[in-house]
Amino acid sequence: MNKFTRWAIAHPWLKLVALALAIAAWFYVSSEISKFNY
Amino acid sequence: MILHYWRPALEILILWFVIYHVLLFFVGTRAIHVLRGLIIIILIFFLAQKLNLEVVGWLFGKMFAISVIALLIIFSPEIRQGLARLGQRHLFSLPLREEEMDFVLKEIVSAAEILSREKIGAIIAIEKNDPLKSYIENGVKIDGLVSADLLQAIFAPKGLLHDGAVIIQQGRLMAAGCLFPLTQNQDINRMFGTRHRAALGLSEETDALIVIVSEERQDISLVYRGKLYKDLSRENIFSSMKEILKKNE
Repeated sequence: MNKFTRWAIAHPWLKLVALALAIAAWFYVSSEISKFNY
Repeated sequence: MILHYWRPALEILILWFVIYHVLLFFVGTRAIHVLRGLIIIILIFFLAQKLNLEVVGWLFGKMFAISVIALLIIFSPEIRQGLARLGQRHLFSLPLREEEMDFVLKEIVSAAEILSREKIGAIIAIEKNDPLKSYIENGVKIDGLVSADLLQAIFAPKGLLHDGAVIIQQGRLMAAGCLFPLTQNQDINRMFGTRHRAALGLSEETDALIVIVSEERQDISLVYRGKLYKDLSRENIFSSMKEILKKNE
C-alpha cells in the first residue's frame, strides 16, 4: 500500500467531521461577507 | 455551470485540509475530549442559524465564544508545546517499509525472548494509527534506533527506566519510562499484574500493539484492542505482530 492510500484511509471520521466543519464555516463566512458587502 | 463552483469547492477543500490537520494534531491528547464538545456546540450553532432559531443560536454562539477562551486557558501548556512542534511535523507521515518493519519487530521479539529467559518484566507499545505522543511526553525521550541491546538495557532491573513502558513510533524507540492508564475492567484474571492492566488500558484507548514480558511466568503476550493474546511461540509472536500492524481498521 502506498503512502497516499494509507493517508487516505486513516481517520475516516476525523476527515468527515473536518469536512462538515469546513462546509459550515464556508457557508457562515460567505453569508457574513455578503451581509456586510465587504 | 460546474466551472462557476470551482472557487467555493477549492475554498472548502483548503478549509477541510487545514481543519483536518488541526483536529489530527489534538488526537491522542486530553484536549480531544474538550474539542469534541466544542465541535458539537459549533454544529448546533450552525444548524440553529440555518433554521433561524434565534434564541438557541444566540445561546450557543455565546457558549462557543466562552468555550474558546476556556480552551485557551485550560490547554495553554498543550498549545504552547503544539506550536513549538508545528515546524517539525510532517503533513503526510511516511509509513515504514516492509524490511524496516521486519527489522524492528525482530529486534523486539529477540529482546522479549532474552528478557523472559532472564525473568525481567517489560512492556513495549508500538504506535499504529492513533498517536501516542501524550504518553511519550510523560516519559523520558530517547528517539533512537530500536535494538535488542537497548531494550535490554532499558528494562534492566536496577535501571531508572525499567518501571515504565517503552514506546516505538515510526520504527524508532521514542521514549522509555512511560506511564499508561490502567484498565477498569474487573473481569481480568488475578494472575495478571499492573503491567498487563496498563497494556489493556492503553489498548482500550488506542490502536497500539503492546508486547508484555511477564517476570513471574516468563511468558510473552501481545495486547491489541483490549484483547490479550498469550502463550505465543517466537514464530507466532513475530507473525501476529506483523499481521496486526499491517491490518487497516
